[in-house]
Amino acid sequence: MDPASSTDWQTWAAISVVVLTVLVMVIRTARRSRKKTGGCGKCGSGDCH
Amino acid sequence: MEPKPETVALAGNPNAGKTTLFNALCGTSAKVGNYGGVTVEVKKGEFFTPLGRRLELIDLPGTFSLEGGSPDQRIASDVLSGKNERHPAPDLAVCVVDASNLERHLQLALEVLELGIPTIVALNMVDVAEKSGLRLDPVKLSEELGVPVVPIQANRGKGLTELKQAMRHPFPSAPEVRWEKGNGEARRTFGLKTADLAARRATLHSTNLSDRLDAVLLHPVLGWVCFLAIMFALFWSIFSFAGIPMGWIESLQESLIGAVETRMSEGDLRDLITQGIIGGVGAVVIFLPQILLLFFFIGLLESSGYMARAAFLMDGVMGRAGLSGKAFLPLLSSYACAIPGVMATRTIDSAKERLVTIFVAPWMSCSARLPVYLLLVPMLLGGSEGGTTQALVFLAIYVLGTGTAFIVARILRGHLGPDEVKSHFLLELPPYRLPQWSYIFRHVLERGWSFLRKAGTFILALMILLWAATTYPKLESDDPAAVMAHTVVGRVSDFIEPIVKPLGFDGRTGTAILTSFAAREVFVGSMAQLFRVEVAEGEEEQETRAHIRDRLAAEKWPDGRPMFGPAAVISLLIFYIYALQCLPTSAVVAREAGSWKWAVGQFFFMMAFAAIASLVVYQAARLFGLA
Repeated sequence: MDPASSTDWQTWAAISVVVLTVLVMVIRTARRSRKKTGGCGKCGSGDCH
Repeated sequence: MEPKPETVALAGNPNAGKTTLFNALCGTSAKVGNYGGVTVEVKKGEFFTPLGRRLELIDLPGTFSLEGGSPDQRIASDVLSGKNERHPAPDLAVCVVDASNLERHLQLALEVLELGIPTIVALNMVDVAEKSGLRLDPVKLSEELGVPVVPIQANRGKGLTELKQAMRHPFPSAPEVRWEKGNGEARRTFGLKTADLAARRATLHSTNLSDRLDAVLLHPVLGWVCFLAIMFALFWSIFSFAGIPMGWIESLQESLIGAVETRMSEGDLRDLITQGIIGGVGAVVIFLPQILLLFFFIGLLESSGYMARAAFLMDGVMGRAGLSGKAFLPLLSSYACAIPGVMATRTIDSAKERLVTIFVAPWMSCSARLPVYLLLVPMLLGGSEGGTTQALVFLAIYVLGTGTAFIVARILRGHLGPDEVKSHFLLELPPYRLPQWSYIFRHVLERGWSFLRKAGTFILALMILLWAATTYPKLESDDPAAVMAHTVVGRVSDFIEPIVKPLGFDGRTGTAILTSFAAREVFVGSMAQLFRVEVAEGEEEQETRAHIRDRLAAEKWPDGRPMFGPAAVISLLIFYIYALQCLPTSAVVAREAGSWKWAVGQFFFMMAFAAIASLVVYQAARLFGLA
């Protein structure tokens, strides 16, 4: 495989992993803060319906 | 569908034999459930009554009272009163009380009875009570409390069938309490009177083994000698024994990196896997041996009964810092690594004291700072590594960190105010017992797994992000300093250069400081890279540090002044003593304190403290002509 193209796909793959990590962290933090504030943002109940 | 089993909650004081009973009833089916935001663990398991009825058993944290504010007390109180989101109120409470210490253990049982849930009292350790000369009357106790009382010996499995029989359907109805509900004094008086009726002393109190051991271990002189010897052995063991598995983990990490490097062509993904992922996981797992060893020793000390004596001895000393004797061990452990130290604060009853201990623990100079000190101290004094003067400077570094931690703890403790409910039982001394090995090993494994699962995932994510910040945006160049300057971290360094300059550092030193947020020891490697120090293959660490020192000594500011004069080196040392440059520690603090606010507050406070201290020291040293 051409070393340049190998570097290229590796760069994109690495950036994807980093972006995915940020997304997972944001989603988990949002979920946790929603749980702490008492569930559904609209009705305030524990389980959103 | 199978109906949901009814729930039985096990409540009791620490050391009442609750976990032994839990394991005896559930066997190995126990699993650990973690409560979000709070790190106290609640075990769950299942067992069957003699008639084949399936019951779910919840082992609540051991607590002296349901009225305090500590995490243990809150969890126990919330679950029993049905306020916990994850668990509805239990259908039955089993209060495990130590028959040899009935007057103390009954107080919690009476608090549970006040909640109005069906209750059974498991009168544990009847053999110990009888050996100590007590004559027990479970029938009288049952009459006084209005609930079934079952004598058991949980460690030998005696009385378990009778206890299971007592749990047959329907559960006993909630009793009418015979004292004024909510009145602590009335409850206490009733408890003392009931204990006196149900456990009469047949013989005069004679000196037993515990008393004889206490004569030595609590002796004003011998007690301290024993205490210091035990603590030295513990600290030495953590440092030296943990080194062996830590070496294995490091070798495994290196071979994994080697395997990836031989199978993948050069590129960002390979760097991410080797430096970010394997390096990130390694940065967490490397602490595991220390954590397992520390919790093994904590379990041993707690299970044998010595921990209460150690807390008793250290109470006066730690009291000067506004802390209790129980804060001593977490702070001592932090000299090895702040992460197990912060986790060890779980043994502290008071929530406020626990937070203060967590807050100051990173100021105990951890082993990761050693390579930095080893690089800088000889630069300050001249000559190679080693020697008495350097040892004295090392001692001064440790004293400075510890002294500051004590002063700040005292101020913080005064600021936070006293606890809502003071523990009256903190200094009560349980009798010495042979350690329960199965309990200790189970406890150690649970703590280790909890650490890996909770901290591991988050720290891994942080390491991936830190890798990205030190890699992107990329610059094609052979100059590592130029490549680094182009990255996010490099740009932040440029941005902070005007801030770090008054502290005596240039942008490259600032960058090396930023890269050491993954782990402090990274500073040495970063300095070598950024100041273009040639490191020969197979070179010893000591030789590398000597080369870096030579290179740094030749470095000059544009006006010709040496860049690493005594003032700059002292300033850098002060910065490393006080700065919290360890993201894994911050992640564990956030978990243990139950809030990121504490971790972020601690981070900025310590960074600001380090920067101001460095600034003052550097400017003062310059005035004295040390620049």
